Amino acid sequence: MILFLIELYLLGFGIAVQFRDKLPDFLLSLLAVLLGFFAYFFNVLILTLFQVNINAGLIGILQGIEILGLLGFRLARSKQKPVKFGPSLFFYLASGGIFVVASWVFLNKAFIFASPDSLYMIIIAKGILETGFSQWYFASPLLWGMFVPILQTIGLLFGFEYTWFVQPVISLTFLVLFVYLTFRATYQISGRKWFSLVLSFLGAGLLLSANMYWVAQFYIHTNLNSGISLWLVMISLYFAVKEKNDAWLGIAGIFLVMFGMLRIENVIMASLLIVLVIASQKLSRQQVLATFLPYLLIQILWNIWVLIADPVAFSNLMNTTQLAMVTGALLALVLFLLLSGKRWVQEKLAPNLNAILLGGLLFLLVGLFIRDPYNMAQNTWDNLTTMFVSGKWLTTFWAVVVLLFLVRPKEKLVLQPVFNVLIVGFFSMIVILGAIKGGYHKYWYDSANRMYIHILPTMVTYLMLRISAFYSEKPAPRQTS
Amino acid sequence: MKFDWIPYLKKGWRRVDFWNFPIAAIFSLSFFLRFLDFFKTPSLDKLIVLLTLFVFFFLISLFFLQPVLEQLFQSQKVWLPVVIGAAVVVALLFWTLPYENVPFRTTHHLVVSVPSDSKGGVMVILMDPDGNVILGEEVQSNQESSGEEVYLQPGSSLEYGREMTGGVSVQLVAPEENTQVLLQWDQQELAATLGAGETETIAMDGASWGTPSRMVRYFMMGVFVIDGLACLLICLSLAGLLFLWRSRSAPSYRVHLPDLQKYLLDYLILNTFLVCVAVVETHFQFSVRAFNLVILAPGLGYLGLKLLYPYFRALPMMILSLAVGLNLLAQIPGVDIKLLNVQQLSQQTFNELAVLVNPSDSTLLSVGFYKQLKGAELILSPDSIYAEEDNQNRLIRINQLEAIYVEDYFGELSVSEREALLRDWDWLKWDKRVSGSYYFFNSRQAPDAPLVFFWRGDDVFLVPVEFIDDLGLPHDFILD
Repeated sequence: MILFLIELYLLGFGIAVQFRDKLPDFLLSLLAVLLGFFAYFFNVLILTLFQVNINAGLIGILQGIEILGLLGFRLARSKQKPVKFGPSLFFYLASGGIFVVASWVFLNKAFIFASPDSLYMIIIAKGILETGFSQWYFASPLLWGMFVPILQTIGLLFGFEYTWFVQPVISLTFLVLFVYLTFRATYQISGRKWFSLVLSFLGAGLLLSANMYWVAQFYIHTNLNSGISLWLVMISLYFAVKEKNDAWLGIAGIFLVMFGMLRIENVIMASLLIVLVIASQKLSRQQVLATFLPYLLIQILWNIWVLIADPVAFSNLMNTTQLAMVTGALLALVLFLLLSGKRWVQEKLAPNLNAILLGGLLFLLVGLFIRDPYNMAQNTWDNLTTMFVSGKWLTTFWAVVVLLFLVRPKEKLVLQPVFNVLIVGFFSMIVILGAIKGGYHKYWYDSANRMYIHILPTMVTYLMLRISAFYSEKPAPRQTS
Repeated sequence: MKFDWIPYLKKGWRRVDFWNFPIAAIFSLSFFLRFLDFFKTPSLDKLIVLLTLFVFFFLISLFFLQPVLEQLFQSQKVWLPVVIGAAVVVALLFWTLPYENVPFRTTHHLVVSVPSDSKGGVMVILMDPDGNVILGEEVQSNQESSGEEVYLQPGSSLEYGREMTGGVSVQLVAPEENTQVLLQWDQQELAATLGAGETETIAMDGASWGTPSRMVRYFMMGVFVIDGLACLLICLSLAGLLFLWRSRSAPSYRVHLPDLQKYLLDYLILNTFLVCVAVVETHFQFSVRAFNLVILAPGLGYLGLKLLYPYFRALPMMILSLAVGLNLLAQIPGVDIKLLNVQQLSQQTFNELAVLVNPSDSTLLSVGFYKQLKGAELILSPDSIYAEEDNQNRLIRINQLEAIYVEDYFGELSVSEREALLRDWDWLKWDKRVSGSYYFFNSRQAPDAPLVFFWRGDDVFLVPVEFIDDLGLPHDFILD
């Protein structure tokens, strides 16, 4: 098991070092953990789709080949620029070592939080290993993405009955990444090192001290991983624009795929994010295509496979007709991506997209309210009570929401409209899905309350950016009337 | 954005701005009475809610209403006719349209009677405005009552009266014959006819006048006047807007204290949202309690922060630190706010995890034997907990054939039968929660035959029907 985890880290390392020319080693050493899990997920997904029986030996060999291939590719690329073996390589050793030690600790100290959904995901994992994607019991891809169930197969490959040690390791890696990247972003704005450090730790503290977040770190479910991947996409896009560094777009693209494969409704937020980035006009057409097209194609192909397989299980969030509609919308989005470089899109459509999106959301919300006022009112009421009172978030959302309103940055932040509309869009989506699905929101354990964790890391980081811009020592731009 | 509002306000304040105080008072009181839970809100909470509304309407009036009215009243030729016209319109509205009281605290009186020529009697259950059942002992009746119900025979009646806010609900059940029932609620009279076996619930008008105390009577007259003044102000504002729009000679709409308006715009938007939430919550009554204070007070708190913010630069950091500190304090043992806990497992088995998760019996059963339950018909004894409707529905969700049958057989094993079964045969075992186990006979694959449920105490035995003979269990209940 431990050797397998080392191999996973090396696989992630192999992917991470492709970005070594342009991104810091400390960051890549942490991302290697998540990239390793992501690569494992992809391997199992592809093998299972081709109906290959998964076992530890096969995966081990395949990953070994991939590691060699990736490192070979990196060395081949570096013939033009020699690979630097500096002290920064120590980060990879340290990160890999901590990853293995942490995995071993959590393996032995079995801390867990679970619900019936967790049990169903474990059963999906068992089903994947026994019958591939042909047999479904409680849930299918029409309810959840396959990322977490496939991660569950890690333990099953080595004789464990489920996998409890992966989620805490992912959570720990995320926390370190969060502090580091938030510090980096806020320091770039404020220019004050200690202040940025305190801010980053306060942000992490705000997350960690929320009861719901704390248990999510050990929870076999999709929510925290969705929050982590969405946050990584957002922060990568932020740095890509701020630092004018394309390597961040590669990171964003990878984690957007992970985000999409975690939950079936994540495609809504992913699509919204893509449209918002196009509307911001901060990326060129080539950059937009390179970053988002792979995700869209993977999502479309996966949806088509699900439509063909038409899995029958006891719980579904969508039916095949709805999935077909979503796939159609994704195809339209691909078309929009291809057209995003056109002049009329750039000059007429893109500058107005945010207003159109917000207007469309408002129209939808009002329309749903008119259709069923009681249901919509109840949904909204339940959302508010779980977020601020009964949802086990303690004071976290109070602080985040109040401060997001209160703190005004001295100058407009990079991708500020994207953050704003994404946050509004997310909460609107919760209300809309509740109106359509029904019974989504009432208690702390319901989907809606758990889904707040998807957006919370992004909101906290955005808040930190705003605060650092408020305290920035750099002069504010002169206002012209 | 740093905004020194104190010197700005000092410089910009004018005498005419003081008119916003009475305007805000009228609107806030009228709004509280008409759209929120004024009479249900406790006294101290009332003051705070009133304050939040007052501040909100004051700013709305200062920024949006005052410019309109100022332009109107500056026009010498127009303002007097407009005021008189608005007053006439309001008077006509109040004269012609029915005035709806809000439910207020008064003594209501209810009489429920069954005419002597009615064929049958009626069961009466009274519920107070909060939905709690009024016990029979609290009701005056010439019939006997026990617990929650009063049975009225033809020619009998009951009376109930006390001070309350809102109306009672009367549930009438005619058990045997068609029945006629007469109800008198304060000055209103109603008649209901029920068929045999019918149930009807009638909600009495909570806004009925009843017999209020003198103080409440004067207060409600004051409410009438406040409503009138509020309508007058709305009419004047609309007239002023019309005047601005139509008139070419009037100066254009100019907001007083524009920088302050810009600075407080987010508070106004946020508070508008909170007010809407409070109104909707009051209307739909998601809870019996009045939540007005809980919903509106944060808006006032936010305004306080806005006013502090320009003079207290460390405020955001303080709020952040305070939030983290409070979150950490909540974790202290002894602080009882029902936090979620992470468990540490000893065996790391799937069964142990399922027992920890503690789902319903049928879900736990299904998680243990999902392959078996998915494709087999399930036979349940009527005495089994799995034959209960809720559990059957859960099993139907798991069973893709949707084949759940309740057959009449004994189901329950004797102690000796249980011991004999477990002694001699091969069972697949799955632990239940606190005690007992599920046992599945002799198959780790999905069965072809229907599965029969037996039980002894907390143990449940699942036996494919083809093995019942081998196990010595009777099977004459199985229909072809």
